Amino acid sequence: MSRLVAGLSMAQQYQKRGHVTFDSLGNGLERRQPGNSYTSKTRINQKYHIVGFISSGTYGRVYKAVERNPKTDGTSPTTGKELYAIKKFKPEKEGDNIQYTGLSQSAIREMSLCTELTHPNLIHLVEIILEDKCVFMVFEYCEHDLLQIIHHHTQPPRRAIPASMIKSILFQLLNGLHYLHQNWVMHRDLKPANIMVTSSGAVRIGDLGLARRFDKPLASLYSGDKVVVTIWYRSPDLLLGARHYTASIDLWAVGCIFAELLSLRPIFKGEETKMDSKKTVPFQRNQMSKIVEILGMPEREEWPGLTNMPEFQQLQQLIISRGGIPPSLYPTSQSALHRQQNQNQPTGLETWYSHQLRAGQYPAEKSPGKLGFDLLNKLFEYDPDKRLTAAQALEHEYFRCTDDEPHNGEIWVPSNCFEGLSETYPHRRVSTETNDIGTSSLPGTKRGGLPDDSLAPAAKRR
Amino acid sequence: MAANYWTSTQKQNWLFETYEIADLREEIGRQHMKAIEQYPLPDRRLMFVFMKDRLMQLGKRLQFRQQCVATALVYLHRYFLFNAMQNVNIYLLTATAFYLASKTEECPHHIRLVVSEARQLWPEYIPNDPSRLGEMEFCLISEMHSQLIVWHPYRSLTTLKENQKLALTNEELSLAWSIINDSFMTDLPLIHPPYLIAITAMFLAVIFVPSKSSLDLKSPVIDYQSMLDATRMSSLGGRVGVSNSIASALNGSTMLHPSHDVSKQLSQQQNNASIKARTLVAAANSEKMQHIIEFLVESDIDVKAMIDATQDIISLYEMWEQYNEKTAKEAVGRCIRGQHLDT
Ligand SMILES: Nc1ncnc2c1ncn2[C@@H]1O[C@H](COP(=O)(O)OP(=O)(O)OP(=O)(O)O)[C@@H](O)[C@H]1O
Ligand SMILES: [Mg+2]
Repeated sequence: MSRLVAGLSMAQQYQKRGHVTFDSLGNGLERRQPGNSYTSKTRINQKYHIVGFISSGTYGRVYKAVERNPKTDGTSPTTGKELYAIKKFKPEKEGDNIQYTGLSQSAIREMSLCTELTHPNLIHLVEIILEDKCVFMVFEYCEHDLLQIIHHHTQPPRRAIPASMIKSILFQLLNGLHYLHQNWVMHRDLKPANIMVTSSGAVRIGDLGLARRFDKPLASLYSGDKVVVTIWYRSPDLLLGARHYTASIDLWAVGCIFAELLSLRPIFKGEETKMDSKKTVPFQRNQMSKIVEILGMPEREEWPGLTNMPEFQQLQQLIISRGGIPPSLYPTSQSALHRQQNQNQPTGLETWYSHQLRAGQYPAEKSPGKLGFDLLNKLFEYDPDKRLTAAQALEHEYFRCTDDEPHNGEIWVPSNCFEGLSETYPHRRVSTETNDIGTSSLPGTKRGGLPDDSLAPAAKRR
Repeated sequence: MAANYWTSTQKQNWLFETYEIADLREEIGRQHMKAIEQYPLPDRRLMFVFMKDRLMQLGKRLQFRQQCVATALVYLHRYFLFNAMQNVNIYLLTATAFYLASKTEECPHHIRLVVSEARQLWPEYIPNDPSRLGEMEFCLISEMHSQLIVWHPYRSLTTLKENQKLALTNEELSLAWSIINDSFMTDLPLIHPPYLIAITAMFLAVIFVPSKSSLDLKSPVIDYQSMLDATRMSSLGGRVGVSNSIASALNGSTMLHPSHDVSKQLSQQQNNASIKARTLVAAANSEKMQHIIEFLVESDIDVKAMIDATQDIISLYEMWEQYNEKTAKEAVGRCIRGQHLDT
């Protein structure tokens, strides 16, 4: 069990620990003067060369970089330099000078979870450098993300994403998600922009800034962050105000992403109701109605918890305004009758799905097909308790291999989503105008993500 | 336990052999000999009692969960593996550990609030500038290599509670809970996995319950959530006679006392489970103890490690009897002023 190596001091030895390399952080024994001022031994600019600027997110900026003096250990002949994406969390500005303002909850989450988790379908963290009052998280570089890939297919000539590619993306996404859930981590912000794809077709779930653990009894999850998940990917239980939501919210988002891969546009593209001045969390009426338009009204026979949802009243008003009859006004028997009558007609989702398959001109033998519909339908289950789990989704027949040997009949999907495809996707756009990674660089312009609201005073609820 | 303790950074990087810890401390001792000689501080464990009480003081003013304090204490343990206590403003560091743990344990407080509460408590030691605490946060995080998630024995104790065969009473559970709380004063969180600490605490509690009445300890109802949310951290520490009672209870149970033949035999027979089982069961003097020992054998617990941990807990209580807050406070104050750590 001993990790001591003869001839190394404990401090040196210590630096060898861990799967993340930390040599940049240096030796804690020499670094500090009494008085506790912080200085980092390695400077980000010494170790990495910033190639360009990728994106400005809610919490900071992301840069593309190469290592200046890559270690060649002789075992792997490295052709070309390894690429990195460096996410920089900047401190808030107080007046003119930059101060230590305490790391945001989001930075803490992403740092602590990324150092703990390793999985082929999760973004790989290389190291974390704390320098100049900023946190720099160095990730492996991913050439693509789903937002880009979808966008590329919408460019003329607009053409659908091949079914095999969708299947591989979905399988890898579910695989990564299954790992997260197994480790009691909810992602809470799954959307195309946060799902990276490497140039070799591996899917990597990224942006763990909203992710949190749910392994231990917690004060109501609702109390911490009032709003999670970008609105278009938000599950109906969240929209209806669920406080004790579960990992199933991530599966709803996977459903939305599946649909978006098929149709090249968000399936439920609602308009966000902004928080009012009293800071009450608004009911996302428009978003809910987009869902209802396709999936029909949730009914309490299928979702027993429905009537207990905090926003149930709002939902009923929505129904009345749409000229429908709220399900709770239905006597149960009649409601069942109502459903029976509809049984032979395709549901809204089925209509939507077959329309997408036609529009996408999927050839019969290379189509997401009926099994794809069944999977999607089960991801869009209203009742969060009945919604497929990641583990169940991974076992869905949709993923059974019908190709020839060697995997025929198994649940098996190629781990390169580009396999067998001729399409080449454009490289990530990198701007070289602002590749100064120093603290003096421009503050990030918000890209419309959700603010980290966990430190805000608890909002009043209706 | 959740799947990921086994792959956690805690298991991989933050569990040490006792000699490794000793080596690290020796090195610190060499490097900071002068300061350490000039500003002597109480025993490390008593310093942790001191810091725990500071954390609890903060916790009283800020909404917190007990798990936050436990996590903060582990952060402090990790920090002091590489730093001399004489070289840091302990009040500021403690407040920082609280602040950081409040975020990792998902009950976050704003830095300004933490600083202002800490300043009200210890005005002479907390600078009126939140950025100082922010800077200390960088020191703390970098010392821990951004590995901030900590696994605690509380969860394992809950699993033990659910084990029907063990049939642990509320009294035993709440005693075990207190012993776990107290284990954070020792190096145990740096040496043993959480389940071993939980099992050791349960074992001690079961042995100790019969003789405990003489010490007049309250036994709160055990309920995982309410214990975690508790605004106090129940403890056996600081009471005269606790260590003696536990030690004699151990002797009485003819089990696991390090000087006892059985335990010696056990350590030699680590590999032979059936002999181990027979020896253990023979040693047990009650049905309850038999169930517990069967459980220990089934779960293939490292008995040697358990004996060591038991010993550490007993000597903690021995040491704790000597704790004097005023002395600790003065020593810390002298050091901070002398080393100019308060500016
Ligand atoms: N490893 C990576 N390789 C390449 N690009 C990346 C990588 N990580 C992030 N990016 C790019 O940077 C963008 C923002 O990253 P990320 O989502 O992690 O930050 P964020 O601050 O949370 O942003 P947002 O608020 O937009 O969600 C991503 O959408 C992606 O375009
Ligand atoms: Mg993002």
